Amino acid sequence: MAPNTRPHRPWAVTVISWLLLIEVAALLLLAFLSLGRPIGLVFFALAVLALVAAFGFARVRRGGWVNAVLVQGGDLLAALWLYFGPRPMFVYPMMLVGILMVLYLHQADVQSAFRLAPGPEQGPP
Amino acid sequence: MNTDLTRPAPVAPAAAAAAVAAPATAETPEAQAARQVDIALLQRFEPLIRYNRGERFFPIGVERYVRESSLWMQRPGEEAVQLVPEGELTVDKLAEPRPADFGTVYFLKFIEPFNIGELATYTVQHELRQKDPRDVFQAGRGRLARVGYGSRFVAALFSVTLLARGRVPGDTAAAAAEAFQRMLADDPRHLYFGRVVRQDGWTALQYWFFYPFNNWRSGFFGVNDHEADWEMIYIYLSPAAGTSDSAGAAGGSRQVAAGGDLSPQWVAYASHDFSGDDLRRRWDDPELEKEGEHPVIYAGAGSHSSYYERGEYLAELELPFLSPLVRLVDGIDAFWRRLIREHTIPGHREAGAAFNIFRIPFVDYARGDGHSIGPGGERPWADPVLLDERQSWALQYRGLWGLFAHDPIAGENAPAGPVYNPDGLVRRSWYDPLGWAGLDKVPPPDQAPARIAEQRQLIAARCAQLEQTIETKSRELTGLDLEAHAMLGHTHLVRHHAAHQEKINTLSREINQLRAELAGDLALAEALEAHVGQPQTGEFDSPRAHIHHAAHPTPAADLRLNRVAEFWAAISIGLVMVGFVALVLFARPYLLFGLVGILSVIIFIEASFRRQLARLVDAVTIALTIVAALVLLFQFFWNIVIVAVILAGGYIMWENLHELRS
Repeated sequence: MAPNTRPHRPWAVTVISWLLLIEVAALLLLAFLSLGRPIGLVFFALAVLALVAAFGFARVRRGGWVNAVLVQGGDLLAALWLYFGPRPMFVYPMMLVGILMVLYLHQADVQSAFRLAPGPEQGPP
Repeated sequence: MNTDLTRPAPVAPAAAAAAVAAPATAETPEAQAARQVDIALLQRFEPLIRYNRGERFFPIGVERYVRESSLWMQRPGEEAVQLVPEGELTVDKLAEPRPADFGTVYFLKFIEPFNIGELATYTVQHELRQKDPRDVFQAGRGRLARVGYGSRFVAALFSVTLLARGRVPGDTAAAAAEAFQRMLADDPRHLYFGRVVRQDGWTALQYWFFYPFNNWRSGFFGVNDHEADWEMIYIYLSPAAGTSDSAGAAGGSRQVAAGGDLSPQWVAYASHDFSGDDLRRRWDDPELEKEGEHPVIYAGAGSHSSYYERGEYLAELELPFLSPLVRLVDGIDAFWRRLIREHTIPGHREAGAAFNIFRIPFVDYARGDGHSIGPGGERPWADPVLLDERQSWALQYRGLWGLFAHDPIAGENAPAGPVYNPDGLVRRSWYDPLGWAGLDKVPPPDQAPARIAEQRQLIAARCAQLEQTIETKSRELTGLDLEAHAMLGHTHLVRHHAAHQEKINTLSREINQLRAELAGDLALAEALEAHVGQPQTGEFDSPRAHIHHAAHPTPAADLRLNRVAEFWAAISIGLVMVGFVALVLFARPYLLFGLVGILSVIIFIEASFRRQLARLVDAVTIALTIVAALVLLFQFFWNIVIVAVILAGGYIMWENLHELRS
């Protein structure tokens, strides 16, 4: 019987996958509320990226972790951009969510799950 | 520590200086025999050096180099003064004592740079003469993309400011190469300088290699050029396990000193980027390549730095004015890693230095595909020169062995000799061969069982003492407790009872601490007992367990960058400069914004070529997280305090209620 090569998925990884899906919904809502403005497009792009990240994360792909961090980076950048501009009220929860997600993504067990997972660049040459 | 007075020995710096100042005396037959024994030992383990293609300078003796050099003195704030002109300088003259004021620098000047005509003639002749592919260097693909903008910009800066800085210009390397060819034509021998040091049961063989010139920058796109180059390695021997009675003791028998019972345990190659434990490799480490009993050194092209593995190494230069930024970035990185308790895989302690955008990367080529010198190589070593009191040039001359270029980074100043640092103080590698490579804490394998037995005895004695103390204190404790119980019901003894109770508590804590100490010692004794049965190799775990940071060649995958990346690397710096000019000319109001944009693009592309894109994304996100956290703190400071207090209170209540319920 072939050995099971599927990477182990810790509980935290499952939680983050679901949180990313919730983030997708929130970003789509923000995109809808910002229809017709450039920032709406940014939110929409972030939502798509978050969706990709959620699936990559759930499958414990190394790219999933990087995409998830990228989504949080985009989220924080957009929030800071809006904070130093029109400053709508939703920037603060955006920042809080981004900070908590970044901290969660950098937890040792989450990182180790992705570091030990076989990524495409770690295969034989 | 064994100190053999017939040879330079590992002593304290002051004593080392005194020893080097001692006048040479008539040699006894015993001293001569000892010298022969040491030379035989050095030859038995002498290394094989494999050079990169295109290497122009190889190890030679110093006499001819010194004869072709002039000696200079540079007092602070004054012009340099020539003391001995070229052709008149000898190694004996070099050794003459020369007292001087503080801050005075003595240095040699080996070569005058070619003028344009000479350089053109030399280049044409050199190109026509080159038949052997081992004499031709090719950087190969991917260099530009790997080193990125930083090193190319610094290299350009070096070139532009050469004359203004008064440093060794690139054409000096050509003149030096021609002079070196003349030297080789007269005396084609390659030799090394050796020294045998016996310290704490170890026999350390020190090998020094002298190169007339380092042309890393001008010949191989590296960091620096300078006249003279001294490189060094150590091989550490010890008697085979089980022969400690005859061999391990200080001043062991001459048969042992001849190497009959000695076996190599460790090697250490000097490196500018590493120190202590990271310098050395165990003899059975797979990274250490050997030709029979001879370790193999892969010499960096032009830099001559020593590597254990063939390959291309990414060396990083830290510019002094960027040091605060480098430290800041490293500090933030370390803090973040601690904060998130970054995962480390057990058994993988080695790690490279963290990526830091403010360090400038350069490639050090050590492919080993050129000439080779040593046993099994293309050219043999000549008889070595023993660095003892007879070599007064090494022991007395504290100056630089080539041009003093007034280089603040010090990369283009010539180095000092084998005994001294550029500041004139004795090198640690000279007076403390074991401590220099972190080997002073490792007993020789033949002495390890005895040392373990000693440690076990010490622990056993400590345990016995602890047990006795615990017994005494336990009696005292039970006595106090009995007294305290006896006082109950006697109201006039209430104060005595309280004092007793406090004593009981204190003593109880003390006994508890002693018992914990005893348990720890007993566990340690058990571990030592298990340790006795393990292989006697100096350290009892993995051959690489002591290494924290190690240089590794660039992986083959990183060398296979595509042509687009290399093409982009070749043209991008020019495009960036054009972009800057375009901003100034056409969009000056947005200059700052545009510069930030250009810099962002640069950093993004740099990270891509160095395969650090994921890390860059992570670093930028972390920076944004910190900024966002500061914004939230600024906006909602009191709200955060209130929420934190409420949460803390709630948690405490929950904990207490949970305890009550259980």
